[in-house]
Amino acid sequence: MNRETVTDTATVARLSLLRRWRRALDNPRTLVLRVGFLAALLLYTVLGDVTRPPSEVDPERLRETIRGVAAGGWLLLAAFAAAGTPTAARSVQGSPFLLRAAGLRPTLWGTILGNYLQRIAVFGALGAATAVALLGGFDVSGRNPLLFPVLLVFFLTAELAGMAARLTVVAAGIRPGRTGKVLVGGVGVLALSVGIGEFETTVALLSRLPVAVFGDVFAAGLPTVEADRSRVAAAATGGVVGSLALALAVERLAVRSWFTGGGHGRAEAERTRVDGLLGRVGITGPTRAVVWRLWLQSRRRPLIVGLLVFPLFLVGLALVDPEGTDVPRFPLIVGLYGVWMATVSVGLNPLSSEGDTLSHLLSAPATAVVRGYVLTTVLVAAPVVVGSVLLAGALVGPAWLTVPALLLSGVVLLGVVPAAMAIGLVLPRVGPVDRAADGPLAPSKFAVVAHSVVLCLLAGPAVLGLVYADSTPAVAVYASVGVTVLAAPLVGVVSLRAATRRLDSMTLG
Amino acid sequence: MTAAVETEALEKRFGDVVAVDSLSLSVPFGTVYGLVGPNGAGKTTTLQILSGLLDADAGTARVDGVDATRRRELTDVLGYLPAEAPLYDELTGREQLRYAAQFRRLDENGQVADALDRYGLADAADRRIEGYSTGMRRRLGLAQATLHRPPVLLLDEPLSGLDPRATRTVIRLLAEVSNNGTAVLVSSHDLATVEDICDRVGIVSEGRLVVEDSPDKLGGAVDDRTDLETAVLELTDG
Repeated sequence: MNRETVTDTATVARLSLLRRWRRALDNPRTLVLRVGFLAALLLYTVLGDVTRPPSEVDPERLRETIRGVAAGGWLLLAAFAAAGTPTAARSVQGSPFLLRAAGLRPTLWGTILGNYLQRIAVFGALGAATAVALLGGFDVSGRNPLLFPVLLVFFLTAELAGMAARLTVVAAGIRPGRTGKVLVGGVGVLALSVGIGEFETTVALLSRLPVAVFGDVFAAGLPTVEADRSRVAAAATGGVVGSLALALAVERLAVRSWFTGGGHGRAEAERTRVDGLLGRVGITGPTRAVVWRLWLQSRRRPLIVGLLVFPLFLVGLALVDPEGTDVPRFPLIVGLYGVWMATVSVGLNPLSSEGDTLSHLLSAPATAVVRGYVLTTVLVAAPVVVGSVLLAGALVGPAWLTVPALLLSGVVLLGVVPAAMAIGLVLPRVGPVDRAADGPLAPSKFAVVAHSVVLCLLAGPAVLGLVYADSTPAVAVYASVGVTVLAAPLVGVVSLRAATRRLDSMTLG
Repeated sequence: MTAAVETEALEKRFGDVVAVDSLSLSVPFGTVYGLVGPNGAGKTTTLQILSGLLDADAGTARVDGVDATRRRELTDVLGYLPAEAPLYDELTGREQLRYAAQFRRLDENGQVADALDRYGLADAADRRIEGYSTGMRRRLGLAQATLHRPPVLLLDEPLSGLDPRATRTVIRLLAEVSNNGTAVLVSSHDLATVEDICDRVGIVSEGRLVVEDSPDKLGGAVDDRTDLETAVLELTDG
């Protein structure tokens, strides 16, 4: 790397930070909220009792645990890095400018540096205070001068290994579709929750991985742990050599994969396919346009994460807990969560505008628009609800509740989806959707509260009846479930009419 | 003499889709060359290959004698403005150009001020780009692409979405650039404008160069009395 490249890399990083800083200043409320949260954490860390060193733990067991946790942390960091790696030149914002003006190397490393510097800026105060408090408490820094350099290569190797792994897959021509990514992510989340649940076994397994040597460096400073000098040396030298080798590999792999244009045209091909599919099942005209738009929205990353990660994580945790879960009637609660999340994410913000769709929406017949929204929200929610309930019923139980939970969640869904549409039209949050940012389609907070109240009121009788089924007469249980079963479709029909009327009035007004 | 832009049997596929198919073209210096054709004809892909943002599957692409895969060398000889100008909304127009100048080791004050003035952006120079109109964004993008006075300029749909006044301004600026000896390769849907500003026009369909000639002669490729628009429709009718 010559001097020019270093200067350009620094300039790209500076540019990246300046843009992020200005964006942060554009949203002062969010900035204040984040700063407040970090400040509170900082105070808790500094003033609280979190820095007390462990005294009554077996040193060998402590070292084993630190090794396992270090390896687990490294793998997690690598996984996050892999997920966020730009796999094509166009994924880097402003790439036609940066690549043309600064070249590939400064673009790649400057962007990465900018990301790191932002993280350091955001978490710097907290991290520094925590580090000082922990090191002061354990007197680690005095005993282990290698700690800080090794900490740096620990992060660096994890980040670069994740990037290299992802770019290797892309360079080999493997570009998994959305379904593939969701499957991989789902398996990852389940593995994580099982790992946390089976902590001892996981730590024992992880401590055998080569990257667990970083744990020896972190443990070496503890007063009760005797340092394994050969492993500490291996961590330091291996980390430095590994970082350099990985950096070279990442750069070569970026050159091979960034300019292939893979995935190009996939969106258009998919649109044609989905259009044909919808037409064959009789969905045409404005309804098809609304379904297509919502289909696109429903696959935004935050939605997938919100819809899938939480239930999967819960199921995983409950699965490894020998006493099951503390959550009563688990399959039903998981199913209702799916209903809530899907409707909040997809159906509760109908006037958000992706591209210039709002004007088209308002000029289309209200019944078609409402039908499109309801249909898509149901289509998005149904697999999540069915999958979560089946998993929860089969793996956690009680198994007998699986079918009733499916039916009840389905009935509630039919009532809640039109209700969400009506609420979203009465309490709208109008604004363009930033497609590039892949951000959430956040509805109005008031709409979320109103929608949650409707869901609780609708599902509440059935949930209470089933939770207290053992101590309640059977008639009361049937009656409470009956209230939900009867009320949900009624609310659905009324909401459908209300939503249509509201949209019609907006079209005419 | 080396051609400003030269491609030979250029090919690019995206899975089953052939985006560019055996495309060979040559653009001399001081020429404005229009690449026209329907959506999906391969115009943008060709420009992306020439600008080093996309690798070709086969064939060669050279800009001022520099192979398009030699990205570092390409930065000095090429100015590229994609359909969506690569600008950062959070910056001001002046800051955007200053960064461009820094990367290219240019005079950050003199040349940037000159470019802002020349492209009619001096008054808006210290406003955030997110507040710019489509025409202003296009002019700023053009100023950025030409800041280092490259011998070759690639422009993807430079007139798309502009009002008549902005269109006229951009056309005037392109004429100035071309008169200074710069080769300009323009992809455009606006056939009337292409007819006005281009010395040569290549009609592309399904990734292939169907025909190329001067705009007034191209109509004759179909019929003696045919205009360019009809010629394009006739020649690209799939």
